[in-house]
Amino acid sequence: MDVRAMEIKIKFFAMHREAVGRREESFSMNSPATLKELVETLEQRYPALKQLRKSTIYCINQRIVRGDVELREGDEVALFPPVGGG
Amino acid sequence: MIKITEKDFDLKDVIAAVKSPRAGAVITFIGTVRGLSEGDQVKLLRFESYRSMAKKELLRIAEEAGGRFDIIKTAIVHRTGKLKVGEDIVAVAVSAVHRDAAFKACRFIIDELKTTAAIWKKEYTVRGERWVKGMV
Repeated sequence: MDVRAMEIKIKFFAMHREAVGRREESFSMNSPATLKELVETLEQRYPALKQLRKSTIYCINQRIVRGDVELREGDEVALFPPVGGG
Repeated sequence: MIKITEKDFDLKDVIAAVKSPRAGAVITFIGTVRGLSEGDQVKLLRFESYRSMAKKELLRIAEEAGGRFDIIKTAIVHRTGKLKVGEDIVAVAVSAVHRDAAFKACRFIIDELKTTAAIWKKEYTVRGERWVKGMV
């Protein structure tokens, strides 16, 4: 299989941002890779994310994702807790 | 007018955005920072947003309101950053030929926004700080 490096942008909000101590970062992964693989890597790097797993919403390119999907070059992945404005 | 902004807004501008010669009614809603939360005195609230995603969601809500109710125009402004007790958080304005549709649409918009927009709220009370639990 053709293996290439791809750049994924990751954003954290609210308590997830506080847990990892940053708003965003760029991540280089070998393609193909899935959201689940990315999350596993992130949880190793930031163990605090594991504790938040039950209240984590995953987004790719501003869309909520449920289940696992394949990531693409340039994707913007976001992790955050349940939302609510006002 | 669909806006997520750090700056304060003037309700007059929000109303002006929905005015129309066809309208017989303009309904507005303003959400403000309450001084008491679960019995604790609130010092301030801090709103954080995933701006690009929240803006898309506000657009979707406005569009859906337009599909459900017989309205003319909608405007939504939501502030982010630190807000003190009594300050405005969010404004919704809706114009319609008749008031009933405008009331219903305004209610629909604020209820949706409360549960689906990518916005988070942290309360700073005299007892400490806490994230307010989101809905979705």
